[in-house]
Amino acid sequence: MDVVEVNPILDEANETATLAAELTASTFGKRIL
Amino acid sequence: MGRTVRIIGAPMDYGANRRGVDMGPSAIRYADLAEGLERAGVEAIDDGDISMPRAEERDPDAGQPTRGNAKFLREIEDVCSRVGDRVAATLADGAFPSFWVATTRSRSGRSTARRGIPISARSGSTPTRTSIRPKRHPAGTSTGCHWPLPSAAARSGKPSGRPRPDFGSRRSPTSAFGASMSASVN
Repeated sequence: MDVVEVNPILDEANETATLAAELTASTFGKRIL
Repeated sequence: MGRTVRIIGAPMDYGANRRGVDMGPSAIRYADLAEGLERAGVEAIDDGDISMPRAEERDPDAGQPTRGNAKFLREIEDVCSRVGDRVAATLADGAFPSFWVATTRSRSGRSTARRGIPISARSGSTPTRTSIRPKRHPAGTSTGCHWPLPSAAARSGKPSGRPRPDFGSRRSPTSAFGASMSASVN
């Protein structure tokens, strides 16, 4: 599963990594609505 | 739900000119990846990072392909092969490999995999950053392999059946890995 590239040097306040973690949880069934 | 996800970090950024994705696995863990998975009803086991030599200590032009160009070809090929081994071992163990950019497998896939401790089973772990973060890599459970690692084929004395990738076309092997993460579930 390829989610998203995360480069902490270019990221702002770890937003991309947070998105990656959330997308992954959603992939495994986490409901956000 | 009974599903298990093993988180395997592969902190690698050999291929691209812009550095930084080797910190991706750490950033994604910091963003509570494991906690998010557990809230989704999945058992998350953090297998730690695959060990990786620093790019500054290696020659990017060593091991050039017969045609085309490639940076850190030897290192990337080795890492990809170890990631593949680690993922195969995880699947054989009945879990879903979720590896982050930078990923692979180890000497004794099974025993190494079992070294991981389900985060939910760790004493005192609660889904809060402060309580879990220091426990994310307890001694002896974090890094499952060491560099350099003999491949499974080397250990068994048999040649690897894995076809050697053709790096003739110009591409960046790392970009496929990006800071990706994959996971495996049964």
